[in-house]
Amino acid sequence: MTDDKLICIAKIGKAHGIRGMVYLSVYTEDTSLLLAPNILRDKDGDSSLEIEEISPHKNGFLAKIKNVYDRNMAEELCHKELYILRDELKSITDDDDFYYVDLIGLAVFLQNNDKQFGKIINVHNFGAGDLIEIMPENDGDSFFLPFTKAFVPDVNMQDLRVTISPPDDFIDT
Amino acid sequence: MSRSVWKGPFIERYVLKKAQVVQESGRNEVIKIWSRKSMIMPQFVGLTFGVYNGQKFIPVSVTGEMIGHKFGEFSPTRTYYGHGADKKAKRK
Repeated sequence: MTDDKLICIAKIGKAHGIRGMVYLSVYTEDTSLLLAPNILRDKDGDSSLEIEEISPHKNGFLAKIKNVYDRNMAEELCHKELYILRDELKSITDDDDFYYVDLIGLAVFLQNNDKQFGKIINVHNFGAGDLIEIMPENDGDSFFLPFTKAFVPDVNMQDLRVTISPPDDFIDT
Repeated sequence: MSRSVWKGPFIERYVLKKAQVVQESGRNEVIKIWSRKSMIMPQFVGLTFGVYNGQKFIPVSVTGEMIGHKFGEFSPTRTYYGHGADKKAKRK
């Protein structure tokens, strides 16, 4: 697994006021990640950005960024995405919990078949449990499979592979 | 305007039939349905339905909290999926 993978956790929006505040769209559940020193990066991996304070505002957040003192400086940061490294996420203790970012890209194998079937291209939750989206190797469209022990009996993070047991008539959809 | 109580919940007959067949067989399979407007009934808890969204069948594993909702609510027809960031998936 590549632990230097960048994960987008927030995006800077418009400037707010004249004192260098900006709107912030936050994608992470753990907002303490945004305030931790020296972990925020931009798309190129540069870690010069640091958020000093963050406060809820309407449906999002307002943030004060270090060394940004006026509106002009804040406007230069508009639409900038903020990333962290995969290593900086908290480690998971439960064997059946996985970060979306770790599951995406895993090779998919059918039960009792050593040939690679496809790979996971996304993970979703539409309100009825977690689903993995699988793109078959040969051709055809991607399909969804419930992320349950019945349909995904094995997840091997060491070998970066999952074993699936889909219903017979479900793959050809 | 809400549906009259005396009519009872709306559900397509073929959905009930398919669910009954799978329940009796005890097999672990995804029941393909096209009826997004059918209501989720108590006897569906524990089953997995593949609800058509116009393009694909989205698996919906029915739990007790979903009773009374419609199948279509769990099978979005548009493709905005949001950001993964630090979200976690739990294998149940």
